[in-house]
Amino acid sequence: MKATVATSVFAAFMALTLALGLLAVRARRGGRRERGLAEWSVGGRSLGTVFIWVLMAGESYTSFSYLGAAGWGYRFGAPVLYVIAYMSCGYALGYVVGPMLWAYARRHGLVGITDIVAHRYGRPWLGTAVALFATVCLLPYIQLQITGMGVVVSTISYGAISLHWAYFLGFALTTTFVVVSGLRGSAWVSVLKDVLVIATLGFLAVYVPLHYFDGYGAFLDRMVAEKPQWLTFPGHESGGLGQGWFLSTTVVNSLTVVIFPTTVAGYLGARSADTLRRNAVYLPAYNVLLFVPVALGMAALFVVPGLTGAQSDLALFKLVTDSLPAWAVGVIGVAAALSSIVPMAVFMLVIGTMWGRSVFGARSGGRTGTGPEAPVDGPAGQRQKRWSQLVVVAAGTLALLLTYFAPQTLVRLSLISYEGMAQLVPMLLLGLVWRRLTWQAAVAGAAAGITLVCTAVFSGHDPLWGVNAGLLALALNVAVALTVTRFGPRERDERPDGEVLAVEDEFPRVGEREQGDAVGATDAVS
Amino acid sequence: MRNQTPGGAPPGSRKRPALLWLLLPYVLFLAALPLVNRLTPTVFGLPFLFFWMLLATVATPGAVWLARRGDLRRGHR
Repeated sequence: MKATVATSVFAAFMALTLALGLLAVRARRGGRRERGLAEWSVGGRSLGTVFIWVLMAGESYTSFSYLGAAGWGYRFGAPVLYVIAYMSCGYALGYVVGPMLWAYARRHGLVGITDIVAHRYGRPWLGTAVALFATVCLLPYIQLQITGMGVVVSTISYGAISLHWAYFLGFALTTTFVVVSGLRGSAWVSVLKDVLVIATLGFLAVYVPLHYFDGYGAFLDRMVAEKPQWLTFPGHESGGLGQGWFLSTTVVNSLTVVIFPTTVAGYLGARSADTLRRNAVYLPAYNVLLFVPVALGMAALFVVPGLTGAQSDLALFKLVTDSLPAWAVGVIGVAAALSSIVPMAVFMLVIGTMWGRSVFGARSGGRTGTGPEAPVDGPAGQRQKRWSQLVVVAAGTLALLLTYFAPQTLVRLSLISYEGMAQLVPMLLLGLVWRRLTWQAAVAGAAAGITLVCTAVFSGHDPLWGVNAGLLALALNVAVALTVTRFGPRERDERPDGEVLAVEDEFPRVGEREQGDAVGATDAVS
Repeated sequence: MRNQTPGGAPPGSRKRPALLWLLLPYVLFLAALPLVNRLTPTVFGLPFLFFWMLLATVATPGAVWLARRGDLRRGHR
């Protein structure tokens, strides 16, 4: 009976999700008919403050927030605060980086980081290489979301929906609306998601302490008296997650989150640079919500003691299924499932875009005029969009198969992705403000950084000397890049600085795009 | 933001000291950590570290707002 109620609630909301995701595509049909890649990948660069806020909050508040955050709170305690710290710091940085990338992409008609890199260094193959590398980093993320959704769905249906069916459901639903609606579909679904997430977490934040502990005072007193180890660094048996780890992880992740391909997709979807600045003010407020799963994870220490390893990721849902009626469990499950679906949608979209534009697009470039220099709208853009949609299905399928045949624990995977993606920060951000950085230097630096990350992570030496290996690798990366720039080969690039670098806040009027490029170029080098 | 005069000085090249506010989260979350990594005193029952982190989280939108206010005052929009 309970299973039927919860499953029905879940099914109804999933139908609503699919409807929203599919209807989003019709939103702009009435006005301008844009069917090209820019419409699909970055929502035609037309999303306002509200949509950008829900979309970017939607992307960052993933199933990890429900499962991993509660699980880390349960197992380790304080170290979980790194999530809140890096997202806050990263969102603050986004105030500068967001508008910068937006303006650059808009001026040159670019749709993602691979595109930006290819344009900056004038090397389409470099965009291809970055696309391949980023795909490797992002695929585990899709798998992470599929796994997360599967676990949630099977738990809230009281086992009525099996893990494997839940995996497939997440994949099928997400793929369908991404292929049809692109970024705009994700933004629409994000609205439903954020409403549910805010409502359910707000409710749980009040309900759980009252239900189990006579309120917050009693809960916190018990926590301080009985579990003090959880409440300061390095946390409870966290295996080296001390202050040094927290500091280094927060720094490197906050730099990475601003160039993470999915974040950039959100940036590029914005209507204007000012939308992003306004958004950067409001977005960090969302992080306050992250304290809720952390607190609930800790509360679970008293209610369901003895969860170990991956089991602890279910800390929050053990409380929920234990204390709430089936329909409420269903609604909370929907919020958590959408927290998988929205990020998964954007991850797939980004992988599709990178391939359509920088892998297949670059390969056929030059000869047929569909390369990265071709406009993103028009027939070439439509061809790239079709490739992108195909890749979405392929990438989703691959991630689904990985989930069935090579499952792993949640957090480690995302740390590898992050530390790897961090190595693209100099190539992208330093490259956009510093003309002297050559492609050889950027590539050498990234290669050195990636090598160090892989060595440290796969040999089990991360954190290395108590410091996040990604930050050490980033330091090496920058050192190598500076050295190669200084002593390495130098080719003449005849393009003016304004064509190559990010000139922040340049708003050429419609139709002036070509001439606008050179304006204000000379003194933009900082 | 579209009313910017074409041909004027590119705003990106101006000094924007208000952007230093964006470092405030780093100061609160990271630089202060050795001082705040402690259980007591508890504030409203919250262990001190968690109270501090909550404070830093709430302060972050404020810091970005201050940076933006600085930009707006310089006509940077």
